[in-house]
Amino acid sequence: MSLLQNSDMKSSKNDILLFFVMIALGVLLILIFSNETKVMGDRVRVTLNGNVYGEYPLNKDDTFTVSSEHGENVICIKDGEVYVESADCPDKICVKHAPVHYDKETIVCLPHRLTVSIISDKEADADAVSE
Amino acid sequence: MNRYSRQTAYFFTVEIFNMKKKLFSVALVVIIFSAIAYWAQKSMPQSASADFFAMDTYMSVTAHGKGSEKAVQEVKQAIEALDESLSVTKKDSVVYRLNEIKSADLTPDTDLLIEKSLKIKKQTAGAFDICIYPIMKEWGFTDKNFKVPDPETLSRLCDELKNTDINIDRENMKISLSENAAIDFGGIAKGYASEKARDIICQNGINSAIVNLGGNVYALGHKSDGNNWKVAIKSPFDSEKKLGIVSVHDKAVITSGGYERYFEKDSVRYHHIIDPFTGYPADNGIVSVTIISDDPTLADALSTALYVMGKEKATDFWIKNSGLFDFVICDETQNLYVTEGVADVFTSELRYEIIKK
Repeated sequence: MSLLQNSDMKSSKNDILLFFVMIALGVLLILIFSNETKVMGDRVRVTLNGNVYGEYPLNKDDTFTVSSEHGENVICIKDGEVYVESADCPDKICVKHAPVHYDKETIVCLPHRLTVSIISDKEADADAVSE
Repeated sequence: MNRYSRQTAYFFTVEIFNMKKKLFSVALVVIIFSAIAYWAQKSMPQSASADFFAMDTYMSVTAHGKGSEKAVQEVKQAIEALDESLSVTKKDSVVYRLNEIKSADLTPDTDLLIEKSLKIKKQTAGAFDICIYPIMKEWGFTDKNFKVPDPETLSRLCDELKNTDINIDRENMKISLSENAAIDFGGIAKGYASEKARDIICQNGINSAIVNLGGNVYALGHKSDGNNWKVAIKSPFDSEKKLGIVSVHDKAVITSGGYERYFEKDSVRYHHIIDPFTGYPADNGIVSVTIISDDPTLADALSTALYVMGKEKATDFWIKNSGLFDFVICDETQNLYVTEGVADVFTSELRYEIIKK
């Protein structure tokens, strides 16, 4: 009798094991489904020639230089906005562009093939801008 | 004692057997769950985008669905190839050769584009004209060496424009231009590129994509959540603001604005949308025209044509062709006009007038 009880206890131990395995599986599944490690909050994405050069948090003030064979752009993140502080491109359209902070807003420097755009986790109010 | 130990051994074996069974079921559960997870991830909506520079602008194509990566790469290649053949500045392009020696080989793209351009020129009574290139060149809009041409030169070029002729010889696969003619697909090429992009994406079996060729937008199908695509129209007065949003599916949303490209001389602003009848930048009070249409190529050309026409003529033109397109027009006193076909899908914080037939 006592042995049977013992056996029951063992099997309930296995049940507990199974329980934990299921929880571990659940966690694993969540990890798999959220396949990308998401950076929370708005961020600035810089691309060169269509390739991502880097991503930077919008809420952390920062100034950095992006240089390529085409030239240099100094990008400044300040007070939750990003703008091109200076550039050695011929038209300076990127420098004249107003600071951006809304989702999908983009500053383009055509001569340097550089873009600076905002990526937001908040729902965007537009999917594209016709201009 | 012996009996007892035998019993213990018996129970012990059962125990191990049970444990093995449990372990086995746990392993089975793990395998099944992994399989489900793998399958779920595989069948989860995929998406891909390509961002690139072509036609002197920044382009972004995003497609959702199986095979989207292949589709966007094909779009990128097709548009880059189109740029190579339609550019007015690249020395080995078809258009460059045509403008230089007035004759070039007919390609499927140039055939379609010329035919469509001539059709739209006729429809718009000359407000859209690809032969405007010599005038654009005179202003420096083609190479950014801006200058204000003298009035005599402009009136001579406008007279010449009236007598230009484009000939398509399909038998010998040749295009030819009359003596003083030169063409520029600048007012229609991006629309045509959007159309190509749409066709390529559809051929790949994808029904959800947003194509943005430097502000010329085409919205294919619906978003992955089933809603319409929201396309904002940029404000001509403040680049941070918008005139409004149109919620659409399977539509091109293409805007022409004097604010896009211009230069200033003696504190006068000269923009790039030239009136083919005067040779000067269109000056009729309009500051932005957005065309919403099923046909991206038509939308691109009409955004220029209606800008040149002015609000009254543009309205008349729409009344006659309301089946083809809708518009959103903004004038310099910030009046906003929206045709009734898009009134239901247009939202704005600004006041606007709905134009009815």
